[in-house]
Amino acid sequence: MPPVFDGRDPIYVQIADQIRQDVLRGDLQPEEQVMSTTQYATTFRINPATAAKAFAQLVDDGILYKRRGVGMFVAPGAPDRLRAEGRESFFADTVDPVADQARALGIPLEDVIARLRAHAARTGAAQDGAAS
Amino acid sequence: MTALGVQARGLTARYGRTTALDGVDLDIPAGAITGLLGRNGSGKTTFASLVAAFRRPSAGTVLVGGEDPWENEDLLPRVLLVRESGDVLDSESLRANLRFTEDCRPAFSRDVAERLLDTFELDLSTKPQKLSRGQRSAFGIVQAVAARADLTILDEVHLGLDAPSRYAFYDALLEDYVAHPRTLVLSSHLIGEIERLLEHVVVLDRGRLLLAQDVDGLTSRGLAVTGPTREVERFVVGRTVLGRQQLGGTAQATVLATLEDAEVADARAAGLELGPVPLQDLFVHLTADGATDAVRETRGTS
Amino acid sequence: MTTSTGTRLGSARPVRRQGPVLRTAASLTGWFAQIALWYWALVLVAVLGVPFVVGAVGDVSVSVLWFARQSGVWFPFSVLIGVAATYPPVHVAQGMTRRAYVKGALIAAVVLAAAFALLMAGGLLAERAWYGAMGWDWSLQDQGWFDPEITFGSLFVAYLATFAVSYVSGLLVGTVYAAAGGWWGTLTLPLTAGPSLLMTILVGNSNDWVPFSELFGSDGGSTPLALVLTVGLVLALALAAAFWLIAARRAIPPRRG
Repeated sequence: MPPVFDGRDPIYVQIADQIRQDVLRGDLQPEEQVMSTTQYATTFRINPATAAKAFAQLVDDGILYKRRGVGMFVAPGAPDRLRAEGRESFFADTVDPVADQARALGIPLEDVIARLRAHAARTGAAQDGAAS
Repeated sequence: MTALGVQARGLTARYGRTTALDGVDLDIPAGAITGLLGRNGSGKTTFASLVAAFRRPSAGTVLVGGEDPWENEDLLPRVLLVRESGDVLDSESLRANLRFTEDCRPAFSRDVAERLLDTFELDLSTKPQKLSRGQRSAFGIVQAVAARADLTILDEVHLGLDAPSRYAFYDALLEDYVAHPRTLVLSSHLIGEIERLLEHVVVLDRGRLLLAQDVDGLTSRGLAVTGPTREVERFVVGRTVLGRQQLGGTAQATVLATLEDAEVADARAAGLELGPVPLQDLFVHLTADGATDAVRETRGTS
Repeated sequence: MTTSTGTRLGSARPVRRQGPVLRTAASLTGWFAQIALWYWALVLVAVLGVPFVVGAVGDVSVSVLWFARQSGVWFPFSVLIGVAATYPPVHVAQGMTRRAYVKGALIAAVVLAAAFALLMAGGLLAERAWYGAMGWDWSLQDQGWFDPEITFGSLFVAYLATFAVSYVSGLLVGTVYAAAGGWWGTLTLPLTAGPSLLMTILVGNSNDWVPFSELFGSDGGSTPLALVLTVGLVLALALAAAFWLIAARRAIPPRRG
């Protein structure tokens, strides 16, 4: 589940979210090896236990898996799984607050929808292709 | 060699009429990096001195790896306290001082020492009295990291170091800690800088233990609530408020709270913004004059 | 990354892995030896130079090294005050016990006393031989304990007793100043530094004033060796006991930065 309040979460949740984003965007491909927790800790100047906690959470969620003695890898189905989870929470976590805010500001819903359409048109067919 | 934990029970230290540490019950977990935080005069340095057997408790006990550290010949070579001022022989060169450390510390790494001397650009032929405050701190860090003591306590060793040197210190410490796990206790005022290095936090205030907790738990307990004054006031009822700010009709309150999902939704519906409280701010609120009692009341329920 | 020789610990020197007591004794002796080298260089210059200066204006008849005796007592004494005041925090910070410090420091004090006594006694006899070869008169300035026919053994023992008491006394003085502060340090000086003074008087003067000296075989002139030894031993043990009691309990206070 993406964070409700970015930054309010413990650091390990933020780290896990960061890696989830990398997988979603394709920066990390399925079966690609990820940094070890110690590499992650020293690279980003983070407590190794905190980094390990984040990685353990990702393993529990099926985003990463361990190969004994080798390291951790992105699970084959990770992007699909993340996308499915993202769709579930997308309306509750992203769209609903937009609607609330629009109402508070007195912006008609039609304007919001028009804006979304215009934005989609501008960023083009590439994304539609990727999503399908 | 295994990492050493610390257990304090009713730990008390008095200097004449002053009570520097007053009945502290505290566990520092073995193998973790713990931040020892507190304002000046909170008892941090006294606590560290008791753990490293620089002095004896006036009352209570402190155990290191389950043993009394006082005059403990087998244990003390594995315990290292580096104080801000540095405990070095002023009349001897840095080389002689470092060799002495090497002789005394069974796990000492010459490689680590030489690498750090390069990083901090310290010349071994110098005598300590010729060093600037920052260089003195840097030399203490070299000794501390290279000694690889199973319990290493660093008391304000960053003083006098510029930012690049401090980050070089954090990097070196973390790198060696990953390769050679040990119990690390860091005392610093630069909480924002060390926050991410820490797994546990201990906060002392006026000689008493304010809280001892893992960092994740602590940061998720702090919450900054911003919104219309009326809604903020309604939200904080029954919660521990650490601080309040008011600007026109908008108020911000810092509270200690862990919210349920439903509470989050309610707060948002009421037009409240919920934000993080950096550890540094949380620390300032927790140790502000008058904050102590409010925190103590909730400590048991957390 | 630059690699300068200034950051190399040097591979020539092996790590010392002896016990903390011996390590302490060896370190303290080693550091002291560096200062002592300068001291003995100065003494040597004086011993070799002064007779020629005196000889130019009159007769050489006085042992210069005999004068140096006082500096052999008080110079290490003052150095050891400094050691006792400043070394223990470094010792404790390196994870060693106060017990090891007390034992190591006492060993170092006795070793230093023996080394100084050896050099002083040997030096006096060498000086006597040299004066003889030059045709100078080697007599000791005061009508004191040493007669011109004295043997090396007696000289060594007398010096050893004097120096040992004095050096342990230095350790105690420094410890009391550091542990209890300036007021107590000064108030207790008669007890802490007094024994050192007593020994120099006992060895340096005739013993008319020493009670019961007949029991030790006094001939009414110089203080008998047995008395010097007995008093020296009792004083050294008393000082060492006091040093042990205070230094083994001492707290290491925060250091002013």
